[in-house]
Amino acid sequence: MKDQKIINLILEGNELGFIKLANKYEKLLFYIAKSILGNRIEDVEECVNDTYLKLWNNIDKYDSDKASLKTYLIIIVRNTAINKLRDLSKHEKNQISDDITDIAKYYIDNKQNLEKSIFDKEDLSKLNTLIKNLKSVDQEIIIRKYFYLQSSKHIARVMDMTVTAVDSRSSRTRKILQKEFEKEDEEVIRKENKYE
Amino acid sequence: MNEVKLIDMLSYLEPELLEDDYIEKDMNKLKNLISKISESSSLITFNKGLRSIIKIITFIIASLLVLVGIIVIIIKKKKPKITKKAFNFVTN
Repeated sequence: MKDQKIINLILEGNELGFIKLANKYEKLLFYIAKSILGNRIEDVEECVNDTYLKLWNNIDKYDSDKASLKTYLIIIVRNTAINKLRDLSKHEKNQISDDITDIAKYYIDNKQNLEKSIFDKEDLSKLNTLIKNLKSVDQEIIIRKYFYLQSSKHIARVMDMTVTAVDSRSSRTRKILQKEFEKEDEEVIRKENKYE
Repeated sequence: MNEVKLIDMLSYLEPELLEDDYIEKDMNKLKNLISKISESSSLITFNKGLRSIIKIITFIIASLLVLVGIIVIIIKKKKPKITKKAFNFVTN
């Protein structure tokens, strides 16, 4: 069934819309949730169910010109999984699956404030532009590693690269991003000094 | 850039950067891998089946040969007696 038909059914409040949605995207959503939350099935299931619920509550905000339904669902499930990872780590460490990736472990171990961070709109737009301008290989590595929280080993396997190459490329890209942000900060300070 | 900050900032990634089907590619690779494994395992099962059929056939042929051998021995042993009996019958 086409996405627009599914959306129309959900907008009508027809349960069939959700059945069709699940038939079409359930595997994808489970795959993404599992790559972030590990193999604990109850966490993954809860995350996917929350994704459906969020879609149900926000279907009127969905704009098909901005994103396909699939991409919209990917964003919801990824962010729901990250929130869940933070929530689980808030309580007790043993509530988290043992097999989460190193980057997911690093995230919960090093996130000082476990609340959701708020960012400047300009910074977010700058980051998006910088990522868009990256080489396609580096763009893929950054998205796989820091959006989907995939392990370097997995990325290396699917991209036919070595783990070292993945790690060095991602580290180099992060340095480039950092430099670009610092450059802008310096410019802002320079401008402020000029006007003083 | 700090990895934690990058993960948090990517929560606001623009949808167009996610239109590439990385995940679907992964899922297809996984599907292909699973089908390859199941194909090879079915080939292994087929080979095992073939081997056991060959074993059974060999066993049947071997037992038939043994049986034929036994029958031949019996006939060979019985032959002189039969000829003796025939000779006696004729002479009498």
